[in-house]
Amino acid sequence: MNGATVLENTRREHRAAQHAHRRFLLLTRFGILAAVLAAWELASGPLIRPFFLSSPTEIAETLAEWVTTGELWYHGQFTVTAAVAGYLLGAAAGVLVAWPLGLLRLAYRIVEPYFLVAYSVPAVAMGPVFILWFGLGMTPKILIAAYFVFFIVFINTVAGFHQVPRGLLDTTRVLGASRRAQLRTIMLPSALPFILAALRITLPAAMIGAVTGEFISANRGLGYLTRASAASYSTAGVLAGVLSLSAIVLLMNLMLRPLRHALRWQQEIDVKEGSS
Amino acid sequence: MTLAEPAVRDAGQARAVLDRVAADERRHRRRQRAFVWTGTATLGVALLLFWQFGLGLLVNPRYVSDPVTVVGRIGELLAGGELAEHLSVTIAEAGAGFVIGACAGLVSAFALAGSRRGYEVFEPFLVGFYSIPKIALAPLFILWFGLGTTPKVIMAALLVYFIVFVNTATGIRGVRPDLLRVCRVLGASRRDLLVKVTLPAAAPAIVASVRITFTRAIEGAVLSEFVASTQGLGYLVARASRAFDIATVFAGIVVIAAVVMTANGLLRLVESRLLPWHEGQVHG
Repeated sequence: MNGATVLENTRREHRAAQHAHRRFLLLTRFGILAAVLAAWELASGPLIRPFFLSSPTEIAETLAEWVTTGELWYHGQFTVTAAVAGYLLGAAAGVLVAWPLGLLRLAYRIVEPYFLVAYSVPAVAMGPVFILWFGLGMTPKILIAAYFVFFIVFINTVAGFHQVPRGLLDTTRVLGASRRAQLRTIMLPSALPFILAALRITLPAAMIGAVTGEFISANRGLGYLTRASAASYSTAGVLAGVLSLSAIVLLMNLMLRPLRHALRWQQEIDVKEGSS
Repeated sequence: MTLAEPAVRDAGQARAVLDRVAADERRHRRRQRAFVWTGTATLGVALLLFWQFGLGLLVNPRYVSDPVTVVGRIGELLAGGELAEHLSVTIAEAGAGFVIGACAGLVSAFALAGSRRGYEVFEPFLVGFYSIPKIALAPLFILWFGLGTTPKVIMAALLVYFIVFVNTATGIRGVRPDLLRVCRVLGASRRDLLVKVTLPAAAPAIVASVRITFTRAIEGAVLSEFVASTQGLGYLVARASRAFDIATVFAGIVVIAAVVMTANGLLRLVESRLLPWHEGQVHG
């Protein structure tokens, strides 16, 4: 037996072990999922009143009904539009406001306390104010979503500009770089990972903002649908609403995967908290 | 001080020069700090003045109220005892939820992250749960537990739970495996490993996540109060908003922000006492 075959054998064994491990994971995961769903289905009725727990089939039925009546699309479109519009607005505003403040340290130090105060107002508390100001339509939801996004993007963008090593700026300055060249070749590239990371974590936040707005008052949207289900004591409806919202958030996270991929060369960045 | 100046002759002179430079530097710092401070104060006063006198000219004052009225309203609410009542309800809900959520997060993270396999099996479920917009569950909790404090506590606990759990699990799994292996070889027991290696290594992430989650607990409590309640700061704000009483809305928001900032300040203090050597990194 020569070295090459030994190596080949080891490699094959390793692959086989990995394969087995993956199969084990897949099976146990599906097993757990199936067991939980089955237990839920069986417990609902004999053990616990379906009113409290609903059941997987009931939720599936509700979802199917929403799909066939078109309700899911109708309400979903408002929530998604508000979330995406708010996301774009909040992110753009966050970057645009942070940009000059990230460059002018002294100015930033002057306004910093106000941003910190505004940041520590729980975003949900602003919901009623926006609704008072802008009525029941789409605008307040977009603005609440934007408010959720703005501060996270703002704080991370400023942090990105501020973590540029001072020495690097001084050195390039001495070597004759103009401010513009510094911005293009040093400041922006080193702030970019922070900005992108903030953009990645804030999309779910925008969704939550839109739903919060719809909870407080609305007559359409998935948040409204969920709350209306609760108001008519339909547990299955609430859970179906939660499920569709989660599915949308998961989809959005999947769509933002490329952003994460674009940052793979970057060490994990200390991103200031996302939303729950 | 240029290079062309005559060379320093003796040590005493050198020290004098250094002292002078340091004093210059200090003075410059002080002047800059004074400038920043005046700038901040001026800006604050200007904003308040604009809100008081200018904003009403641009938009209907009914929509924006003004600082004097808001402060007056806070005073009224305080004097009537109403504020203390709502405040204590919300703080109790958020505090209970915070403690329950943080403890549950810690315990389950230690239970799960101890075994690599177990963690891998459960990971996709956790990711799934993590991406549920948890505030969407608020109506469900109210359906289940009524209008009292229970659904608010549960909501707050849930928001806290996931953040503490994820950060703790990340902290535990971030312990360098070779460190564990070396200690194992040198005869450390499972308990030694946990107490002397894993816990200290994971501590910064844990403490930082616990610190940032108090805001979440308040958020959870307030949001649930928005959805349905009969008391609490969220109720105060929501009721005022329905009555188009903007001054009370702002008064409520100011109080909520003050609570959050005070709590953050206190927790930050605790954190810096507990872990003076580390600046925590947290993942929301």
